[in-house]
Amino acid sequence: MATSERVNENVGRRFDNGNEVLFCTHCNQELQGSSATYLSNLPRYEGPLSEAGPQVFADSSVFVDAPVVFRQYYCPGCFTVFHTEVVPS
Amino acid sequence: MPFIPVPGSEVFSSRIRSREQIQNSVGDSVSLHHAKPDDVEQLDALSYEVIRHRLWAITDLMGQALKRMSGSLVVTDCNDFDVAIADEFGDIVQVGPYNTELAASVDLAIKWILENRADNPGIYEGDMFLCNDPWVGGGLHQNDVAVLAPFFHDGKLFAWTAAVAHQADLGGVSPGSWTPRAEDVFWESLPTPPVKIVENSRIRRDVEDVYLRRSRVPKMVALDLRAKVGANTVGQERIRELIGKYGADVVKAAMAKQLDDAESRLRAKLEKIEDGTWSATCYQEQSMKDDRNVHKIVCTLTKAGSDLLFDFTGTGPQSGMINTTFSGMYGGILAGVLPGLCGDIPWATGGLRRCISIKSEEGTLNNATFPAAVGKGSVASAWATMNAVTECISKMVDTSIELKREVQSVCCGTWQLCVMAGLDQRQQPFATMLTDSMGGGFGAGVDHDGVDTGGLLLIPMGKMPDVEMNEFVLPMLYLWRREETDSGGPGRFRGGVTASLCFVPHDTPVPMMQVISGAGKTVSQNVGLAGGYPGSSQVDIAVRSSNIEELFSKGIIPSSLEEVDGDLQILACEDEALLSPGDLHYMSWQSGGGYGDPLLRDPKSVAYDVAELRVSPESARNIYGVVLQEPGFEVDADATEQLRSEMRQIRRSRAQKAGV
Repeated sequence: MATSERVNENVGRRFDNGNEVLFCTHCNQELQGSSATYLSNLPRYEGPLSEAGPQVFADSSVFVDAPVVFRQYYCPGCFTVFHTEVVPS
Repeated sequence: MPFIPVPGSEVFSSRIRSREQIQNSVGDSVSLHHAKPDDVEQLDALSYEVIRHRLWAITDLMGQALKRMSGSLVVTDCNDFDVAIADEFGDIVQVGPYNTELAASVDLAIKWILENRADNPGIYEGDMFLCNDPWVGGGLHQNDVAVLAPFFHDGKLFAWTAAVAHQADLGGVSPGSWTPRAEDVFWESLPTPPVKIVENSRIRRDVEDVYLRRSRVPKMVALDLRAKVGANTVGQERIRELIGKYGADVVKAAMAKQLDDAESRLRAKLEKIEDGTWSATCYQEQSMKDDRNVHKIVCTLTKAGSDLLFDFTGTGPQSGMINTTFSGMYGGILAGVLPGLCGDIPWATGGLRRCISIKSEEGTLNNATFPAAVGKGSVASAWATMNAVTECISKMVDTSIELKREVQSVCCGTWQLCVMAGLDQRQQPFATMLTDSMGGGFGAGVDHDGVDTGGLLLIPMGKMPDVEMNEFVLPMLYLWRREETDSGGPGRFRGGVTASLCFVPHDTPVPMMQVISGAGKTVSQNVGLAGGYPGSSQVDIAVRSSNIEELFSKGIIPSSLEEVDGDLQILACEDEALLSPGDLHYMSWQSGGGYGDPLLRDPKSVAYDVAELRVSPESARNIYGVVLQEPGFEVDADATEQLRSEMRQIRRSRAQKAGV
């Protein structure tokens, strides 16, 4: 069965004594959790849609009632962005 | 209004049937030609390659024939159609290179015909069946009309050919056949389960009249009907030639081998990837006019060995008119699988789907129960299914060092619909949709930017119409159509930019009726991956009672909305409107998502983007952290390093302030 050494370009994977260890490929910072759960353990920021860039319509209230936010998750070591989303809060 | 299922409608709800189930249903009504296992085993490699490539070429020829005979811009200038060749059981041996989402569910319709029409009225040589019932299959909503033709050899049903295309109007309360006001399917075009439209190689006038009677543009629809009949005829002539050269048993063996080959090659690829689970959610705003909610499709992909399970548990309940049927969900899955996993594998979906299982609850957005409104299904929940599937597949493939280059951030996340109807410059009634939004931006990959205005993921051979052709056919005048700076999702690799257009009604005596439909106007559908930002929002804006005629009289053609005076109106996701003389309509469709952190993008690439107007100098600084010296946009390396360090520090401080 195949075994992967990466989750994506930001998150690498190795095994220490059979235990999965994730790490940032940019600064080697070890990450908490498994490949399925690590995102929820990362520092994160939630802010206005205007921070998503000029390509995203900034006033969600024109269309929907639910607040829509810009959210990012970072490496706790080097603060490389690991995940960006524009979603209902 | 409460939703009330219609008893008796269950018979039209297609599901994937096994070959044994089909054979049992058909019984002695139709004699089927089967591949012999020995013939498949002994088929020589050269004959196999020649025949399977000939089958691919036949689908291309069928598409060319359809285009030559159609009179609809949707077909002739945008390729919003597809064709397919299937074996005797309806398992698709070759999907055409046009709209894959349309063709992917053709098998459901063929299998339904075998099960429900073999006995009465029977399936005979010279027959063709017409279907636009999205619960049966063969298309994603009622506008998608399929003509499905059994091919006989020596008295046995040998194969099927199919041609399916979007029709501009097939009735319903609004032009274009989908209305933002629809509460159920009875507001929309009538779904017609398979009916024998051609018998003894002759179009049945009575059935054709019933079909055309519902349309606002019956002559156009009649021409497209003949185009599809013609495409099937061309395809079957070519298959007959192939059989004449190689023999029926050899051709059938090649078809069976292509199915097996597609399956085995997909399984071999999947075995290279570690087992795991990946998930994605695609959102849609406003399920109908005046709705203010956000609706979600949730996909969880599990790979175990060489099997894939697409689980849509968590998907929202069916709502408004954005629903799609099981057929649409199935089409959405395959439309993501084909480019995401099968770029180097035959597009024989009859074989590929042997690796795929689906878990979905009936009564949800992408598995809607009759009589849910599904008029928008093709570009709403079917497309959103494809977006979620694309994201899951890309996350899965990204774990493989060998296969990571096949990663694709989500491309243009939906269709930007602008239906127009009224009187054209020849005083004739017209109804059509603009198809310029074929030029969506492609998502970025692990080592490359997304293709700018590259098209749509589900239509490999899609085209944008020529503006002069649109102006020739329709009563409109373009002020501009251009790629938009800053529209691509930022990332280490940038999403492909998209485009916008602005037009005015021209040379028409009456206001145009419009149906405006879209999503991703605030919640992003074109998501980025690995930190990449989402692509652009869809935008529809009308400028009412403008001074455009005054500007024209002065010889001025405005190049931005800021240069025009008038009442600016941002249009909702789902709306109906009138576009009067003196009004402007502006639309910008979605771009592709980015891949990776924008602060990791090579500064020289950012400088090039700025020089090429893909990125503005402001975004170069504010998002990419790149400082450029003017003139010439030379990278100030020291200042860039300093700025990027400061931006990381801001991330550190604000994430901490968030208390996480």
